[in-house]
Amino acid sequence: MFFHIVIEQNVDLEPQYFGPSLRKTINTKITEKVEGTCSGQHGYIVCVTNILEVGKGKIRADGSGLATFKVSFGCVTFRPFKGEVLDCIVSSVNKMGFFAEAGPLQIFVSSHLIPEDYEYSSANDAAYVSRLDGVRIEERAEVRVRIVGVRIDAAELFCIGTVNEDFLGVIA
Amino acid sequence: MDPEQEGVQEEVDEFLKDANIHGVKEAQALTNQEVAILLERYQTTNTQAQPGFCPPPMVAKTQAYLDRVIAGAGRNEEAAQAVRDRLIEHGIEGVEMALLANLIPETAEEAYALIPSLKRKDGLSRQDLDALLEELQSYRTYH
Repeated sequence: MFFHIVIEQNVDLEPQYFGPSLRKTINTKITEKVEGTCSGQHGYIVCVTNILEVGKGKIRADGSGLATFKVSFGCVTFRPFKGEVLDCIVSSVNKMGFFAEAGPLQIFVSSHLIPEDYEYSSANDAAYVSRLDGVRIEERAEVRVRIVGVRIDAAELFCIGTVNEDFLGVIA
Repeated sequence: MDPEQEGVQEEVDEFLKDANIHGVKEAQALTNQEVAILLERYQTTNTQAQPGFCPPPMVAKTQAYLDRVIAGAGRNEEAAQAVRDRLIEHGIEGVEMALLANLIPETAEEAYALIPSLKRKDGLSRQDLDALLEELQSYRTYH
């Protein structure tokens, strides 16, 4: 789900920027550094909302001439959690299961976690079709999924989900 | 504690404890509506500063997802604030609040199935929850 979090991070600035638009450059740099990234610690950082505080710059002792500023900023992040239920859009279907997306996150639902009455059909558009009521899990369908596992790679999050529970599955 | 009732809040709390070490200062769960409003503001601010601004791919993807998922419900700031206030008034905060506002279950039974932590002893009674859900449904249509 989405969170608004406040993060403190350091940003380095070259001496060429030590001038009247120093603050503006710091804001741009931190935005460029952080927006669109993903980590296990914050999840996906979607956008920076505001810069709260910029500390006094410290010139690095390594002779590079760079100055390090500690910046405190607020941002919108997306981080999934085990047990969470969320709505997502199916992006592809195959006989192992289907992939769905919720914002920047990709979720895989294995065929083992799809209810028994759903059958895989590869005719025309691949889909899982319910034998009971004909409901189709196909590309671009909106599906309510429960997250059962989250994997954190270096810069990517990946989730496993299930629709094999009450009130989960395709949303009309 | 019944593991089913431990729920998502505990996972989030543990994550935040860990995240604190990595420079995360505070965290607040947001509903989909609120994020949509924030992203719209982000778009407006940047377009004013730079005409012809193109949002980064992650922002565009998230906006497209939110458009799909909150279809029908408007981006009305007052409605979003009212939803948050009503839920907090009823003692539903943080992660539970965000989940309820995003999923908008129709009945208390559905709410308990999707968000097991609502079943806690000091939680809302079934009737109160039903009434609250009906109110949330009505907020959906505000534009």
